[in-house]
Amino acid sequence: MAVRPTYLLRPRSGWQSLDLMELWRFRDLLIQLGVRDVKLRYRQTAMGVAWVLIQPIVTAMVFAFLFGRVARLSTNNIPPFWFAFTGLIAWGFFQGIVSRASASLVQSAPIISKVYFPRLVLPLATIISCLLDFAVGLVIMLIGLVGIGLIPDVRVLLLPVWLLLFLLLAAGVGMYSAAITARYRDLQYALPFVIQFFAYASPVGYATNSVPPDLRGWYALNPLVGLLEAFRWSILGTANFSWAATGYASVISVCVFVFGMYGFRRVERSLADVL
Amino acid sequence: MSSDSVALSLRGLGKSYRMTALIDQPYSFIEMLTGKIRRPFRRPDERVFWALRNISLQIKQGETVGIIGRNGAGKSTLLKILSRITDPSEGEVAVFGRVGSLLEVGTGFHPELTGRENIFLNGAILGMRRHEIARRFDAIVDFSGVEEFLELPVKKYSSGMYVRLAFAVAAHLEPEILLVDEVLAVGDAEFQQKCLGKMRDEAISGRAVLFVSHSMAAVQNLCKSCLLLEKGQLVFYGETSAAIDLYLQSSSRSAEVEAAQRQNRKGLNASQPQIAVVRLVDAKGKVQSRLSQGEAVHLEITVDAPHLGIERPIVRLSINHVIHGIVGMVDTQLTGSPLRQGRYQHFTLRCSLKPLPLLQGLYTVDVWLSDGHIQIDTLPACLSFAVEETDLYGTGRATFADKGILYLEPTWEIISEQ
Repeated sequence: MAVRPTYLLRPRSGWQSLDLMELWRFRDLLIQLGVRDVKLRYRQTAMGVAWVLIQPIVTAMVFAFLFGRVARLSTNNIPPFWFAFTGLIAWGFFQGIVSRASASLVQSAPIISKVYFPRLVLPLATIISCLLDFAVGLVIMLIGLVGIGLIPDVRVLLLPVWLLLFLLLAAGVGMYSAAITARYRDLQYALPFVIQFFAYASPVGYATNSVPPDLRGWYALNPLVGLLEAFRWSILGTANFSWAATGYASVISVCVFVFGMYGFRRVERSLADVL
Repeated sequence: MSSDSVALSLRGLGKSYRMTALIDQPYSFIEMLTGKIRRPFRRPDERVFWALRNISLQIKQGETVGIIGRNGAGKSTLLKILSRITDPSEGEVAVFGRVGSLLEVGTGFHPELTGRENIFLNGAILGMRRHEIARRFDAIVDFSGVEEFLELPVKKYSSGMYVRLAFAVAAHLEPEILLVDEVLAVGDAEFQQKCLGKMRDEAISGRAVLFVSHSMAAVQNLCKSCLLLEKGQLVFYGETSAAIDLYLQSSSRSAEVEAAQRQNRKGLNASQPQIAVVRLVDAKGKVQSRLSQGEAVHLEITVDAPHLGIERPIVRLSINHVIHGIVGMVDTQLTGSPLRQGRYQHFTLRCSLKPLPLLQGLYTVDVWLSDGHIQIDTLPACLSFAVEETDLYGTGRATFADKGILYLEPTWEIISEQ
């Protein structure tokens, strides 16, 4: 046969190549699914986009009260509300991707069992709506900061880098947990709990220098520490930034993303049979 | 692409499912852990069930191939592998070109989104690029006939509109290889004709079409060749009428065997009263699976009740068209019969129906047995038979295929003329 087949279907096992070419061919689907999520979220809600803001604002107020007024933890001389708000929009972005990506496969089970497309599209598409939420939060935050006279300097230009690292870390965790959730629904229940744990084990509402020195070593294992501090450093100019912690977090984020993708691909082939 | 180039090449294709995976797979992580702790070295019992095995064949571009077989024969599994939804367990398939499937139209339609939004979303799910959809948008809307409702969420659509829009999107995918699974069971008759026409066009324009259906009429109508699957095996691949012949033979043969062997159906055991054999015979008493139009139908039903016997046996049967449903139902109580009250341990009853004006097509028979008011045994679709067209009216023309169930016998008179 002179003509080469478009593709060969045969049994697969073990690790698979990522087949990024095919993923690229389905980029329109990724965008369509992302746009669908955005549309559905605001259709038939009375307050629409306001919901994106209410959550971080109220949480920032709670955090500011708890960590700033009650516990009197360090916020590096930033007003506690704005300190917490900065942490929360970055954290919200991370948490949004992890939880939406994890649920993406189970939610789309009917499509998966009927049509073929690279399944990676599903968890990856959730990034789009999370990015939009983040953008809205960021704009509000920048307006607020300028309003209180805290104008970010040139370091703000590094923001996209931190955002990308957050995205890689979150998508990596999300993809892998989506694949596990497809088989073991337990993770659906465990995940919110784990996410909550990390909300307190990361410098979201307080600064890293509030952590007792003897625990810093353990604390620093969490890659979110380096990312959150870098994020805040870029916007608020806080002093907890360290290249070591951020470098470590970057390496971990990239590794988690790559591993998440491969781990997902490994499970992908049997999805239609287990969902 | 030239018309004789290969579209699909299957070599030793097989798909197995582990029965344990279906029956007692640990459905939570904890269960898996506790299972492993209690029986650390136990391999899960791997009873393997082959839904499909040793399938080797080639399908060329421009061919429309029917896939027929009873429920569970592996038809849907085959389409699932070809459409890449699931991996094969052994063998391989070489696919030449883009595959589009109409396995379940409307997949991914979201009720809250408008018709327009769903066209784009559904098209993307089926693998179309945005600009491709935009280019075919008008054709899709036109085909579906729902343009007035385009800006309405599809949850407000009637089910007919919903299906038409969904099919329209799928039908404009323009794949090189099209897989179709029983979609014609939906929609109204007019729309079905439109779909059949569309599929014919696809085939003419050089695409390969694989068509799964229980409607022999539709298969006969659309497909030159046909594959017959039986219990996951490829039994026959060749000319459609031969495949349908074989399918009907095996259906009627197995009906006879099955009725005798299905002793455990619904908790029945061999000693309880039951329908043992159901047969379709011709006037000479020979078992048949094909009738000519206008030929009488004779059904023989054998009942065994070795120990308890039956006091007041009532036998009921219905004849059903595979597409259009029930043609009619009778029972021995309704019409009266030579069966009397009394203790039967065995009887064979023949039910002869005067020549039925059935159209060409495939029909099935359901049989029930009761003792007074108590239903004892049911055999739905226990046998099937085909009615073949003949030159009924002596005009050399066949009756309209698949237009209803019965042929009419008119007398025409001219009341006035000029």
